[in-house]
Amino acid sequence: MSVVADQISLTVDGEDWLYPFDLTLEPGSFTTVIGATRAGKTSLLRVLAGLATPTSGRLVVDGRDVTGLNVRKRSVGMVYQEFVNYPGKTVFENIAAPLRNAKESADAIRKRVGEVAEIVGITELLERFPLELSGGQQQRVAIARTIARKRALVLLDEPLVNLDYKLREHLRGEFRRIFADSDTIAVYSSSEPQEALILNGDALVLSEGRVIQHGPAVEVYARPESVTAARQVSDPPMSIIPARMSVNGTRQWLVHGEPIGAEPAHTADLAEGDYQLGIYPHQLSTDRSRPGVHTVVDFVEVSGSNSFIYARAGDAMLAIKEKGVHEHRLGDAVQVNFDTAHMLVFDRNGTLVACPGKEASND
Amino acid sequence: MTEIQMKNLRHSYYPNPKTEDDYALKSVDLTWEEGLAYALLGPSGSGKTTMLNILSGLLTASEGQVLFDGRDVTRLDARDRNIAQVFQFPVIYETMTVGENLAFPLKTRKVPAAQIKDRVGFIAEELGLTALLGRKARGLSAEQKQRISLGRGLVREDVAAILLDEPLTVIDPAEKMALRRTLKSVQLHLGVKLIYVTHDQHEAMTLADRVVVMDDGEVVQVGSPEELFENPAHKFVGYFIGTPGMNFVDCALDGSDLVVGNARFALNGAVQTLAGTSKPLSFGIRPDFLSLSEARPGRTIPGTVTRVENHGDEQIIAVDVGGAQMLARVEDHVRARAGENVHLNPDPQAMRVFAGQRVVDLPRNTFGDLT
Repeated sequence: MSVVADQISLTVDGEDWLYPFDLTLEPGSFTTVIGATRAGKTSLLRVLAGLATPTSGRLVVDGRDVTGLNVRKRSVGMVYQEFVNYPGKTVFENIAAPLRNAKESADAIRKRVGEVAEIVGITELLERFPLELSGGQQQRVAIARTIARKRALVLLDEPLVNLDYKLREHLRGEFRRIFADSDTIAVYSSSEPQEALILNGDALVLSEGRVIQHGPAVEVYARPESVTAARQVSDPPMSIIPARMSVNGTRQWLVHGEPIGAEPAHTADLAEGDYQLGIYPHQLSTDRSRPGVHTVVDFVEVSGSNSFIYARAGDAMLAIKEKGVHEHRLGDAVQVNFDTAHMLVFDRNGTLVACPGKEASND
Repeated sequence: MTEIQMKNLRHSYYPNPKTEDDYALKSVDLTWEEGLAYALLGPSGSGKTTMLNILSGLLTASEGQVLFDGRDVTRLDARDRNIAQVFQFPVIYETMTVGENLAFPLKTRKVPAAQIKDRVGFIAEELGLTALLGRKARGLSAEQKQRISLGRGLVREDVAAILLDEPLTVIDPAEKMALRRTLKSVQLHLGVKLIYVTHDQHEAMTLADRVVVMDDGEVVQVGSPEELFENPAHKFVGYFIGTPGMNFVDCALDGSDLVVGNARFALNGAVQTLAGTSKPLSFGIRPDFLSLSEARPGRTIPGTVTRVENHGDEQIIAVDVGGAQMLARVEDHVRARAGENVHLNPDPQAMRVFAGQRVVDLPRNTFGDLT
């Protein structure tokens, strides 16, 4: 069963929440929707679920137009940020509820509840009540209920956002396993862009109500088509830096008038002029033994096992990843080195014009 | 700025605590040094809030003393301790302007008007609120309101400490970083003692000079972010700090070798120290200090890859090392696939042994020379 969005848009009180977009989701696909807060992630999920009626366009499921069809008549499940369970029912009954509604036999219900409890790892909790469980366990119950009935489409709206990060780390690893070997179309929204890669399916990038890129997550990460997409695909975001390709004698890239090292093969066809470089935090370094672009440390964040140094070069802010936890003084001068072999090049309008593995094209 | 000491502090919410488990806070001896920013970090239920309330004066500890610059304040309330607090939800006067909100704590203390104006102007500048001084607080964003809450503490030059209880919880993710940056610069410029209470390692590690890690009513370690990352003194710190957390695998002493999974490491001394402990031993290493290499007997741990997780800038590789799992955090270009037999190469300087929950203090060259 496939889901096709055909020029769907959503306008609420005269405000455009989603601009017209086309989207095809194939059976068994797992799509992670990424974008900033208010980019339209929840709206997109609600429209796909049938919880919001699109202002224009058609939603076609298996060739059948279901636009405006009551959500109860469709095979859709949704998991929300808040853990929604029936507090007065045991975990078993919570998971069994949709199966009872579907008038399945007691044997079938027992079998299926056992299966999904196993998948989400709550087998030993079936006789407990939701409020006796931790947040992570409650969310597993909600997920188990959603997948108990075989659904054509399951939507997960930032299901881990309210859990502490240790639990998030653990649970997100399980999502792919939960949906592996099934025909279910899963759409998962996240405010952590790296989750798209970790979940290893497709990524759909939203920005201010527009679908700006959709494809395999690794592809989107390696080749964001625009500066806008590039800013959404990692956290901290890729640095976008004004730069000049100078052909005065030798070809070289200049940032703030300073050369950043050998020109990589993938930019060899670019004409002289002004561009924007896109470079991920791990492709920048502050190796003190090599000269680099002069910057001043603006702020340092420690995230997980990494330190991210934010350093200012004129108007541009560079985010540099250092493995481990290190102290830096704000205001210190540091020289930043570029891994030029991996940098992306955008033109002045923000369109990708060169990236590794795909030579520049000036057409 | 004030040095705060906690001496033999214990707290129980029961009138007649009998066992150790009856204490929400178990035996704390701690000095909060002057001029440093602290974070109180731990999961919910670890005793953070109890500690915070004892610091602020909302709660009097069942046992022990709290000293501010040597003065016993154990029984004084928050106001008499000169403590300011910032909560999860901004506490401000909605109908007042931003300027009036900032001036309020000084007005109630009868500070001369000219002095108030100067101080409010200065603090507004530090907090990026200058342009908003004449605006009513109502209608401002949560992030701006939280800046005002902080400003109401900062305007008081005599404030002993500002306690911030999960101050970023209700802030829009996109605005969190700007607020963190302001908090850091305020700390640097004003040298005021900020104490954060948080369950978020990112916040604690980014903002604090010293992190007080709590678990189950105990302070398990106090250290700089770098120390907590590199030298966890307690398993909980190894697990809680760092993403993913530290690997722990049961290990055993065999003669002068330490046996870890299918690997055997010759110990350079330290055998007696390890033989002397009655608690179960485990080997600990952070995923960051494991790499993949060819087999090097006595140096590497053989195992089978069970999972590879691509994070774009790096990969997490899960390896089964004989019934136990270890995670390695490796560069994006390393090639590994599930099912493959590999050898994990730990950095000798990052290898640790824990007896029960606590790290065993071993010489640096225990697992090999430092060259």
